[in-house]
Amino acid sequence: MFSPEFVTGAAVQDGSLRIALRLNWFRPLPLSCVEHLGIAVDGSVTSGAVLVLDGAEYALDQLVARDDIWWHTLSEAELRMPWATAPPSEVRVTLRTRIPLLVDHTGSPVTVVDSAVREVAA
Amino acid sequence: MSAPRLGVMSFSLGADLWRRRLDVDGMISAIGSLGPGQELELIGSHALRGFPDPEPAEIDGLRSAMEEHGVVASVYCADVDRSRTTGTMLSPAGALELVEREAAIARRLGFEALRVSPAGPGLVEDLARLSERTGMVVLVEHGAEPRTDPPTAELLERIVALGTDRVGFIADGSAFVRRLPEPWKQACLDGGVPQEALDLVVGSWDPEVPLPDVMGRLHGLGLAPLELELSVYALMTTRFLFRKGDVGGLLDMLPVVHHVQTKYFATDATGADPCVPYDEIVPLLRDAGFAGGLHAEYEGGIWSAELDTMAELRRHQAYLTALWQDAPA
Repeated sequence: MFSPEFVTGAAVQDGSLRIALRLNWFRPLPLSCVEHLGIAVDGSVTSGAVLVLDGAEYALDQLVARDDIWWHTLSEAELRMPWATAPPSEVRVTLRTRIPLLVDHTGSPVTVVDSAVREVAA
Repeated sequence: MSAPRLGVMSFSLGADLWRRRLDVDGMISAIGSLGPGQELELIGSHALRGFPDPEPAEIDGLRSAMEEHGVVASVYCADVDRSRTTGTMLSPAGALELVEREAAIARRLGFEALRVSPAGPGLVEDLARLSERTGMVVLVEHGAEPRTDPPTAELLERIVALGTDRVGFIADGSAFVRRLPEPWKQACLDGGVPQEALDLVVGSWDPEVPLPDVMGRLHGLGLAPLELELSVYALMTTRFLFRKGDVGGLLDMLPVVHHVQTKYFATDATGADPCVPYDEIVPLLRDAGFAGGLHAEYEGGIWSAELDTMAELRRHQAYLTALWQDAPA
């Protein structure tokens, strides 16, 4: 969908780096359709974040198994990871989702990727 | 003087939902504000927070909003999702079971027609059975036409062979795109597609360069992996979403077309979008006696936060009406 708007904010708060984001599609999808949700902080790929959605936490490497949980278009989601030092300058979030109704000419599901850089609020 | 039946596909306001400019009630109210009798094609999944298993109270609340704002329930839109579960690709017929579950939601909302998308020729008999089981008219949303696209010709042939008005088409204006939308091009650049890759993608659209050739040239640009992935997606978008069909092919489909989704991307001051030739399409429909709805499907908003959706819808519907009311040649 090519919308860098899907990352709506980033800040360090209460000992956590918190990145607000929306699904990069215009209809809800099960979490299983999130094939990749990657974070780079000041250019370095990081791990250990969780996705907070509708009040529940999900480990990123477990998303592909959760076809029972839906990420609604109107849901506010947050990536959250422990952060004990000074706030970084920027984060890059890359979100690749599988669109379950679209199948390409090879018979494979179509994926949509978006990537956005956001300054971290001081 | 006759007037076309006007309506809106709720995807038109999907970006406003996504940007939190509207909530669902506001979306329904906005559609109702376009004028009396606006027909609604509703994507249930984006209108119901509890999807795919919304509580009855949520469904009833949405129906009340539609009634309150004078919006006419026309078509409930469901997707043929084949790959919701990781590593599983349902058959098209298997995925129809998911659609059938939505039929109960659609009926409770007051809809009598169910849109399915996508659907190929092999699914037509299943669609007829789905119609029988649900009691709903089943309509295939389709963005291609039979004169230039052989699979569409086969799909049309099979639907006609059913001999029923309970299965048909929603013809999608994206079958007749004449220019690539400027908002889409800008969104590609803003989203990270390098200019040289976008130039290659745009240049390969019309006349159409075979996919393997374009892919090879994209791979030869020396792009970073993410840039390449974005560029390939842009290329595939041109082939999925922007078909260059023959407007005359719409005539062949008309006996089984229930509605037309008038897809467009951005209008000028007159309401015209240079990307889709509604100045050809609307007179063709009118002169052929088409009695279905013209349901606006505005897509510019998904690529541009600057465009005003409601202004776009008003200009577009006024333009369609003016085209319809011109005397036949």
